[in-house]
Amino acid sequence: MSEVAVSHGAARMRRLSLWTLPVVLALGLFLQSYENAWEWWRSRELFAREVPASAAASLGGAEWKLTGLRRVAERSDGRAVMLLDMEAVVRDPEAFALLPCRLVLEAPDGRRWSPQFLTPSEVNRLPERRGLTIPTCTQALASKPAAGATLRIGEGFVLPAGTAGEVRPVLSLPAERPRYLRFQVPG
Amino acid sequence: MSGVFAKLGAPLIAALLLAGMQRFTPGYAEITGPIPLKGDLGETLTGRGFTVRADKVLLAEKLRFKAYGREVERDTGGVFALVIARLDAQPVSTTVSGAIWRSAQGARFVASPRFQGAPRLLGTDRLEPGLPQRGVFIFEVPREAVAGATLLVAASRWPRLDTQAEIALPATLGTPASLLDLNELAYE
Repeated sequence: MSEVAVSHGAARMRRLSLWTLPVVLALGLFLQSYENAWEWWRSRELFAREVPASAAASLGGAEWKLTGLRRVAERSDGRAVMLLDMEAVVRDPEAFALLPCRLVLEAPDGRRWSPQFLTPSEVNRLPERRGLTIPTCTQALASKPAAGATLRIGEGFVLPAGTAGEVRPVLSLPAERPRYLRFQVPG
Repeated sequence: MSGVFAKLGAPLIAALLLAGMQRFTPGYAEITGPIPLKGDLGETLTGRGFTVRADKVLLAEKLRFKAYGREVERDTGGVFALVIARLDAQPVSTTVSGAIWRSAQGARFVASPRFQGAPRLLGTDRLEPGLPQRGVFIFEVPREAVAGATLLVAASRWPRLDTQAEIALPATLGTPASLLDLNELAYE
């Protein structure tokens, strides 16, 4: 069997093809996974901005301020009911209207409690809330308010009574993820 | 000799490799399927978003419970299999709505939807970290699906790249009680 003579140019071309292959493969992988990687990046909460008590901070087209976090009831089974009040002044209505809103309470050990629907009897314990319908964060975002509007936002939480004193509100919005806000609770 | 090998051996090895890859490469559904977490009765299993411990399995032919102020009784052509269990969310609030009774033959039964409003039904309310729920999963299964079954617990019915606890249940269970009252079960 005789060896086929390969010209100098063809050998060079083959070498070049071999070296190009890893580059093309890496490029293909990048192009295929780019959207997934971007989506992952925009869905994570990676960089917290600490907001001092009574201060406002900008996030997702609005200025956000914590106006109250109160324990309003303690159930017989060791559950505490907490009400969170926030104020948002809309600056950029388009960015503000992006859903969904993630407003949770976070303990120092990283555990997080999502808002829960509370019975009116639990919500009405606060005299200033009696007869009022305060929108939740997602309801406020979905209401598409105009620039300059000031919104009052309220959420209810159920968590272990022992952790109620050490939790802090955390707010993250799709327009700004992976950055999010962590509010200090006054006093 | 080496020339013959190059002509016949190399394509043969390549063909074998390709055939092997085609035969044994797991499918996409398998690669992105549930992540099993195996355990036994009485063992606490800690998954990605929840912990679960199954304590007891009970069988009954009829179940009675109070729902929305009314007394309800349900019977079955098979048998009701009840698993008393404890669920806890960790580290964030979650719902564990994917409980499945897998028989020894591989048949899968989802939790029965015939017990809406029953007390301490697991998988219906959201779990909050630090506030464990003790309650019951209820399945309606044929009698031959009872022995050697496995309880599967996950956040959703078809978890993708997420924990699915697989709790081996006893190989033999006693004869079913003729009637159990869900309001009087010892959950603790």
